[in-house]
Amino acid sequence: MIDSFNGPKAAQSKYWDPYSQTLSREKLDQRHLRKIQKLIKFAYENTDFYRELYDKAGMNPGDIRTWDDFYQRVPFTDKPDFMAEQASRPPFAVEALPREHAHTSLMTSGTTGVPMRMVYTRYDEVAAGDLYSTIWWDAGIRPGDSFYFCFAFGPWAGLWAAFWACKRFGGITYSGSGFSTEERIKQIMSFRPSVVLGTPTYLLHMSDVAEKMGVDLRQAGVKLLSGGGEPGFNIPVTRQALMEKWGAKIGDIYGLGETVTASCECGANSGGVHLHEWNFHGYAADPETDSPAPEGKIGELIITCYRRLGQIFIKYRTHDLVQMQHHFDHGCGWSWAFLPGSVLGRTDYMIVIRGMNIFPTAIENLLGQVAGASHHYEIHITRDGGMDRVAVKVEAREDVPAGSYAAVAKTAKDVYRSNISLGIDVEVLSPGSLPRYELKSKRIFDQRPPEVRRKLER
Amino acid sequence: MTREDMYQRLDRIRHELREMRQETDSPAVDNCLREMGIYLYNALLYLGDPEELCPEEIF
Repeated sequence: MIDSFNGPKAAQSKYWDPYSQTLSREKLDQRHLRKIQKLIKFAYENTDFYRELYDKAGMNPGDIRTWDDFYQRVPFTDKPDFMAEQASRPPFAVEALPREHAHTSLMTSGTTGVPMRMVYTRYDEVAAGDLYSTIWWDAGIRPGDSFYFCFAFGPWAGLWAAFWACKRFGGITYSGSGFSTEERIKQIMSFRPSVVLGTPTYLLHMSDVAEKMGVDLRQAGVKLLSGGGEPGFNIPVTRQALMEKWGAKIGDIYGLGETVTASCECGANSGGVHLHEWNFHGYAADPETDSPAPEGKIGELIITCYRRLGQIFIKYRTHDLVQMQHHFDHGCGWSWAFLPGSVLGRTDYMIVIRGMNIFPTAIENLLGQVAGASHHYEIHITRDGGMDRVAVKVEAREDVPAGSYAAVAKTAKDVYRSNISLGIDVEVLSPGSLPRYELKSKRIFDQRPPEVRRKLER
Repeated sequence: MTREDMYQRLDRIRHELREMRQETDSPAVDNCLREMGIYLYNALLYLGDPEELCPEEIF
């Protein structure tokens, strides 16, 4: 007789990793400091990059004894540091292990400039898979379920991590690589996968194409839409549209190509994600002072990765703005820090108008209140006479006649003015006017001069 | 079996694996043991991750 995929007790578990997901805040923080100390020592002894960085800062790994030491004495690292390292010590920046342990090389999505090359060890792949396994288990997915990848298996890391997770989790994987959107839709209706993986924008695009084909995706029996690459899964207008069109739950993932994955949504679907605190330490840094932001205040997520050893990331600037909560209760039972709304914006996309900080996410969210506006939009940021200005281009819904576009635009302007006191130019376009993307969609176009953008453009 | 008991048993197996990797003359066997070592390290990590585990012990 062949054993079941999971042992009898594990099969009954509520959590993928019960010990770490429910460990007390006090114990999690104690562990974080121990792991940080070990990683700093390891990085100092095994990489030129960190040895030079810490020597220059006058810091010895043994100096880091307290949280204050970590926050105040350990230098930040940033993507340009890694890019410079990649150029000077090619092909990979900040390798800590002999090359024979390298297993897979991928790249950041590289929307600007030269992509950053990444190298993962076998250990990194197993660790990266944990995040997806955590979210799937919490959503009730079990070995025997199946996974369909709307993904070309190119060099973008995000969905590779999901594939690595499948190799451990159990269940058949279907590759949609090399197929058109129409072919993928036909396969999904035929294979009836439990989980469909893709970026939120592409999954919405699929639903539009399915409608034109006369296919009701809700009949495919998909239980969960998962993936990431962009914040749409936690933007209410996009999330709601996806759930309605697919008849499925959402399992959001937030991560960086550099570190693979960082946080995931719990089964309580509480409108945000949890930082994977067994793999990462993360804190929100005040964008102005770089000091830890008070509990619940928006700041830039700074991460240190314990389970990414192909390359070492310590106090790495993500440039993603989050609101971090360490104390919450929304019924999931996890103790890992909660990030309501997932990523709320980018430090480099923050718009300052009359001293008020505005994040594009707020502009995106409010589109959901505009009758006749679809979920396909672009935000254009310009600078005129020393003032930041914002314009929104949005496609009308299919059932809105062209003669009503001006009325839709006026409604949108009124929504913005009444909710965020911001005058935004809105242009309503016919359906299909804006480009569609299979991977990360480009929705924000910052045309301000580089010197006035706040920070790095990733 | 308690979590601590399971940890100790797996840690013993991990040390035995490391010894066996030194002894085997088969790359095929060595490769399997190495892969098992990575998974054993992860299992220990899930069970509590004591201080003595550090990156250089994985590979």
